[in-house]
Amino acid sequence: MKEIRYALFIGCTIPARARHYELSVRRIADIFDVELTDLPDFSCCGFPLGAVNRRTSMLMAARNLSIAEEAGLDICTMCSACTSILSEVDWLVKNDAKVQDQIESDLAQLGRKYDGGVQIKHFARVLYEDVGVENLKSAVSRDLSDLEFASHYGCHYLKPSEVHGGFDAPEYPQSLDALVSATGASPADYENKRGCCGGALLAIDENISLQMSRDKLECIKASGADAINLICPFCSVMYDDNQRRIEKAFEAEYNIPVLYYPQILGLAVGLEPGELGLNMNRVSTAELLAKLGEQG
Amino acid sequence: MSNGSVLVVDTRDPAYIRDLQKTYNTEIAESVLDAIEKIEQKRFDAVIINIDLIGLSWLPTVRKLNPETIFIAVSAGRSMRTVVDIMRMGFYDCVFHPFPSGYLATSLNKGIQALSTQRGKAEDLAATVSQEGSFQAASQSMSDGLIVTDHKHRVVFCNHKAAELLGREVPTGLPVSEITGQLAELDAETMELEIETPAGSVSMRSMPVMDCPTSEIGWVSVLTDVTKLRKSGQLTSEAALGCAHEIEPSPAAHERESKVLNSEKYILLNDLDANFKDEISRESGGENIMHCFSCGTCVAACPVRWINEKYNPRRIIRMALLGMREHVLKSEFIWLCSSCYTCHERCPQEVRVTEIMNVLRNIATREGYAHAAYVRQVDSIRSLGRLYEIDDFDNKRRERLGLPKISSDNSEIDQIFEITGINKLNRIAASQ
Repeated sequence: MKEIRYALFIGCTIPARARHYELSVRRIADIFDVELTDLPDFSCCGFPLGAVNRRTSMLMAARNLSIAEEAGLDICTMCSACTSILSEVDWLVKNDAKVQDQIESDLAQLGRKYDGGVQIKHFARVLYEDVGVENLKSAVSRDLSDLEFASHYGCHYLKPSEVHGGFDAPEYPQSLDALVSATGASPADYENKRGCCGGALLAIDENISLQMSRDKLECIKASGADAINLICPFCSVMYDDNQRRIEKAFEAEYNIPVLYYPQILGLAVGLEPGELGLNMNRVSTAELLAKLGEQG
Repeated sequence: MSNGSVLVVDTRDPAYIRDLQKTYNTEIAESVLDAIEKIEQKRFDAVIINIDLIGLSWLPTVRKLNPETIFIAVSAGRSMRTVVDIMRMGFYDCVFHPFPSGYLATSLNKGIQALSTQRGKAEDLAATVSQEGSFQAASQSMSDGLIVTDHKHRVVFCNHKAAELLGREVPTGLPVSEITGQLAELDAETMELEIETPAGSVSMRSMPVMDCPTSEIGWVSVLTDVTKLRKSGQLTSEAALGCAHEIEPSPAAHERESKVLNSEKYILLNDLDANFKDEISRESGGENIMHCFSCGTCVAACPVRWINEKYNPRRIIRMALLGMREHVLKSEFIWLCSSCYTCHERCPQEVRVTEIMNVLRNIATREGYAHAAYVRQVDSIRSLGRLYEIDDFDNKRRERLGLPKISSDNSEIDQIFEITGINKLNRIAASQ
């Protein structure tokens, strides 16, 4: 049995819109000896329901936590929103007696219970904390030193900070930049680094949502970075899937590739672009790969 | 030569007294008792008090007995009560040690000048109301009683209706206390009174006439018959004193009101729900709403607000605290929070703004105002257990990539939706 073991929480957006992300996560987990178990009973994390009914949202999250607890596994997430709601409900169960009572009695009706025994970590945090930056560095076999990545931390990877155990500072985050450095590539500094992608508003007010992404694309373009490094499928929907639309709507040209961190790390440890699903990224990665002497 | 009479209340022998003695007829009181005795015996134009050494609890009583005297405080400053407190007690001025020679005299001269202005204006008021023909004619035709008193709380005018309501003669010069029964004078506390008369009850509302820097030069009182309201038991104190007349709003007034309602510039107090803030604070995540002191950190931090001013978290919280329940719940803006938690991290009061937006959306959903986008999401999650369907085609593609198959079993999710009642909520929202 491997030392680092997690139940992989796949969520809704990844299987539908980010198979390349999932592919790269599973490949990287194999390489760094992280055992990821699929638990078929996992459902939607509950996050999207928080706006309309907090009790349902919390119960969905608690049910997922209870499934992992029953299997004796901590949870590794890939989506920041899943990370946030699962961590929040775990935190509330331990810190808010009123919520804990409600969840306990609701779970009991499902014949389930949750005792607060599951730790929730985003895959990026697993790499950063469990595998460790030094181990990542020593596995690097391809030279990425010509590349500069603008890391987009997004919101729910680190916020609300009380539920994430303070492993990185939301106001001055550095874990993703440290992960980029570990690959040999350079982390880019840019204005509005902590900004939100606007994804939560895409279905509510498209105009505001796309403008939020546009503002960040402008800042990243100004920094001269080669590509965006991110870790959340919905942020990717905004910057990658919608980049052409934003260019059209605001008469701009960005042409900035958007990569998931495990894809960048995969390149660094010598995996082929196809193994990492780089052909599935919407903004072409061909130019980026040409810089590395690879065919896209 | 003497320009007026001054009493200095001080336990020491201050040097400035000699300056005063050159210009004013000046006396000294060395204790509170001494001061009260002197003031009772003689009317001074001004009383100067060293407030660092002399207690002040006696002052309001003495001041009321001497409406034509100005009071000036002298102090070494620093440790003493604030200037605002002193002015509220009715002092005309406050002079701090060390003051240049002549400063006190300037203050005194101004004060005494103001006093003579007050006297003059009070006389003018009395003359106007007793002699002005058009005023007399207008006030005699009023359906309410009208009484005008001067700065010494003596009647200078009373219309026929007032005398009729009170059931007695009200001659000029009558002290107002004989009308009100127990009180020597009118002040902020007795601006609204109810007077028992042989015929029933009369409400008396008084307003000061302020046309002078020192204090009021007189009072105008309106008397209304509230006997009927009292007998029918409809009378609350507000009804008696504030709105004795029942007024049917005219169609024009109705129209004005609805314009006001729709303009967002005005808040109609009748439409507010004072319990809204409690309703929010009872919900998980809304507990801290009342901690908000409107500093605006959330607004400064908000990435949505940078782009569109429709969304303003501070304003939304203020509206909620004011009780604008309907307005907030029906609004589009509560759905514009992108849940980025930047405000949550920066709020100095731990208001948990992001959670409050969710609480507002939760309550709005219960009232049938859920945003259509969320109604669709709830439906998907209930029927699929997830937001997006993973069908056979998707699973085949997954298989080709070496990814495990995803099964969709939503039976427990259905059960969850039954337990929390969100099914019903969504049906209500979808039908709106």
